[in-house]
Amino acid sequence: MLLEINSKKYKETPEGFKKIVGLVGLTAAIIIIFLILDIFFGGSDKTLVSDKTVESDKTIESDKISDSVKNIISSLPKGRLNFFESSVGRQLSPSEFEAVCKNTKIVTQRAIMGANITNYKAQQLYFDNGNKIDKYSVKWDSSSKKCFAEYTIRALEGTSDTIKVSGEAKGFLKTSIDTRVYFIKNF
Amino acid sequence: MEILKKYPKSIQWLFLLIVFFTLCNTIDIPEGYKFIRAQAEHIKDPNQVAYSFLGVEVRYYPYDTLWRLPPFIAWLPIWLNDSMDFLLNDWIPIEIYDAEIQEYETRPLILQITRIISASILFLIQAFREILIGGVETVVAFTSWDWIDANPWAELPGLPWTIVAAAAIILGYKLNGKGLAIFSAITMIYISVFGQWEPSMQTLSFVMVAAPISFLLGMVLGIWAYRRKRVEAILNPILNVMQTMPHYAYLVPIMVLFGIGDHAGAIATIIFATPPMVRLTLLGLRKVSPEVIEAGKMSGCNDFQLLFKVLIPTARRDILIGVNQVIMQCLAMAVIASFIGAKGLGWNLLLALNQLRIGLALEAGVCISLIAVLLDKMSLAWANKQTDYFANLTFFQRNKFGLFFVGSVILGLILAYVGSIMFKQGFNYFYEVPHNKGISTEAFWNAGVDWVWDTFFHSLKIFNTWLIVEVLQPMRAIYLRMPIVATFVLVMGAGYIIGGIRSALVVGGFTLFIALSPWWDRALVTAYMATFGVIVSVIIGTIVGSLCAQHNYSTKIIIAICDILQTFPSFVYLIPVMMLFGVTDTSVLIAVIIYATIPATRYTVEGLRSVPSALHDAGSMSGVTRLQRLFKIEYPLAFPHIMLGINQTVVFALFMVIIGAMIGTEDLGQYILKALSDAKGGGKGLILGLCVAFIGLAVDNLIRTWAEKRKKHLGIA
Repeated sequence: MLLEINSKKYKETPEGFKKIVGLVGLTAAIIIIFLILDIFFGGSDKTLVSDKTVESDKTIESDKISDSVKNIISSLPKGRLNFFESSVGRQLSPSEFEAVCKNTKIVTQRAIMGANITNYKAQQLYFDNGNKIDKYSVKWDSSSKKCFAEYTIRALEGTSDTIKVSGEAKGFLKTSIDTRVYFIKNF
Repeated sequence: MEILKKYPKSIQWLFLLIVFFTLCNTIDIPEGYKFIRAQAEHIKDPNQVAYSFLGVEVRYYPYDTLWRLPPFIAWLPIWLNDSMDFLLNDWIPIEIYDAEIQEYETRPLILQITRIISASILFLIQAFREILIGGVETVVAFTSWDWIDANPWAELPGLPWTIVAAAAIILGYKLNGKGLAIFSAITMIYISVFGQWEPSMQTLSFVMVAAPISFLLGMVLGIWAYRRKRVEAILNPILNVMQTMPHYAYLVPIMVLFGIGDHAGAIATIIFATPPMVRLTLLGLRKVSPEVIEAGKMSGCNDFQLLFKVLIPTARRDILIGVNQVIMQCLAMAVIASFIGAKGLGWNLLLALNQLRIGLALEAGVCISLIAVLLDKMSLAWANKQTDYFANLTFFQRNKFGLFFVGSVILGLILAYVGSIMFKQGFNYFYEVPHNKGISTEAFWNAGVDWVWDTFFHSLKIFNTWLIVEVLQPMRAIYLRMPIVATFVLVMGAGYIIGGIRSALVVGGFTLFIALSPWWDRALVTAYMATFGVIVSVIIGTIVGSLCAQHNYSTKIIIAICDILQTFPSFVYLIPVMMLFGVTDTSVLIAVIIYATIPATRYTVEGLRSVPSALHDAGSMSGVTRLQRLFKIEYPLAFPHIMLGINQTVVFALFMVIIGAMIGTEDLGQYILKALSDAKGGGKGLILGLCVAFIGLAVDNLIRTWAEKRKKHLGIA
């Protein structure tokens, strides 16, 4: 009897009212689920802060250094080419050039292809092996105050003849994530 | 209670927004939280929390779960990667005879299968390529290098460009008369004169392999789904995900399984191009009237005959529209596939963009666009062409195009021979205009770019800065500032108001997947960029569409423009914006807006034009003004259709945002691009692709449900 009355009452309730009750219920359910999740998986901000205070002085110092470098790198325009000693693109000062070089790890395909042009054998191997390279590196040479990039072109399957191409890293491109070598001059 | 009865939806939305903003204002950003950082880190830090699942250890920084959820599916990409690694390198080793070293060697089954597929596809591409531009490898495949050295005459010479051009012109004329023949001629001459013949033929050979395979695969799956409801039920969600996954996301797992090169690009293209073929086959077969099927059965057809003699011929037009879509998808992938080594125009375009040689990129871009428009027009003309089976024709009338082609082959060969005598010292321009030896407008366009930069640098910079500082950054900050619980309340609440609890759960499921991945912040950035693009595109598209829909002539013109613009591969849109705005976020957003405005405009025009003329007359008789008719009659009736256009706009915008990662954005696309250069990026690329697809599917679910309800409400469903 009670069930019948209730179901009759429910049927008579306006659709809009039922919908808003449902919406309130859904909202409450979402918030409650998230609160329950917080009990089990929520992190404590205090722990994070206190852990950070016990970091060694050395780390803090190294952070300072990297911060200054980070500042230089972040001051570079994103998406435009940065050159040292060139009339094209944005000019890097010697200190910027050093900072960018030391913090650049990625050698772009464009830089690789550009550097290959002067080395026929390297270019041939690069195309034959399906554009595969192995190790690559970007190094700062403090004696000559120049930035050098090098990479190894992988040998063809079943052979071991790799070719190492190296040259001066002249142009850099800053993306949203990192800084990349864009020009390698090897002639 | 009265207000609730009168404005039920408004009250629900108001309640939802109040809860959403309250949550946003009460939940603070946790101390030390760094935005735009993948939650799961590979570096070890004492502040991190770790968990292990299926042998994968995940480390992450824990925060208040009301703010951000822990990355509970961060193990999935790593596990997927390990699984792929295991399948490729260790699963079911089998003994394979290697003819080159004349020995048996052990190789895992999957690796062997992928190698066979790769080799077969590569062989086909190579064969088509060598027919078009010459080479020896196809002949070597059946003989040996020693044999070809001894018999150099057996080398495939390639077809002179004049013969291919003549074939395209004859085909264009046969399919659609003079207009298409002239367009074919312009396209072929442009390609040749601008020295783009070789890369164009490389791209064409790629399409000639990928398109038929996609067609066959799509048709078989479509027929299977037509005959088995269960297959359709399984295929439907898979196709939905595949059609909303960004192009890049296909590349990463393909690269892991098949390596890089033309074959890998072709496989990615086949996977990308198959879904529209499946859908159009299914649609075509569904449209066959029961009377036709009944007539077939009454004539004594068995299942096989019914399918091939009745159903497929009746559904011919839709199936051929599917072929058109497959070709378009193949060309759209031509540039993107070059990321994994597919050669051709796409590769040249990519290289030119990488070198910031806008003029060169523009030449290659125009070339791809011309080929895309030509193939689009040809395949559509083929789909619409009716064969007259009862015509009484003479031998010449029946075979004139074949005879013209034979004549053009002979003429082309004579010309090539004459060319070899005329151009003895240099290149035989009657045979092929070599790459970089044709006309080039690069210097002109580059000078144009320099002029634009010199002349408008300050204005563009002011606009750029204003857009970034005043519009984009605040919008981005608002998105990133949203606590996760507030996002869930908003998204699921919207789902509930629009489509009830089922819709809320579906949308919530998609959002949960992204929330549990390590890339929630980046997904928010993707969403913000797509939202900005969609808002601007919808405003422009609706205004332009509404204005053009007022007259028959302008309607025809705008639909034709939309048709042409939709055939351009998405990458081509990046070229003009890079010319104007350089490599910036603004360029990406403007490319998104241009690309996404097309469906918004098209659907607005189609929606407004689909309003029955009787209603226009009824409005006019009631004395409404033109503006009143537009706002009170046409817009309300066209709104469901316009909303479907907005749905398409969202998908287009998401695709372009992801492609824009190539010129530097901070969204999911950037990580997908990074996964491409990561040896262990297969799983990551796939999950990132799913995240993008799920954003699209969540919006798709909301808009489709709303549009269907609205159509029912208006009685136009």
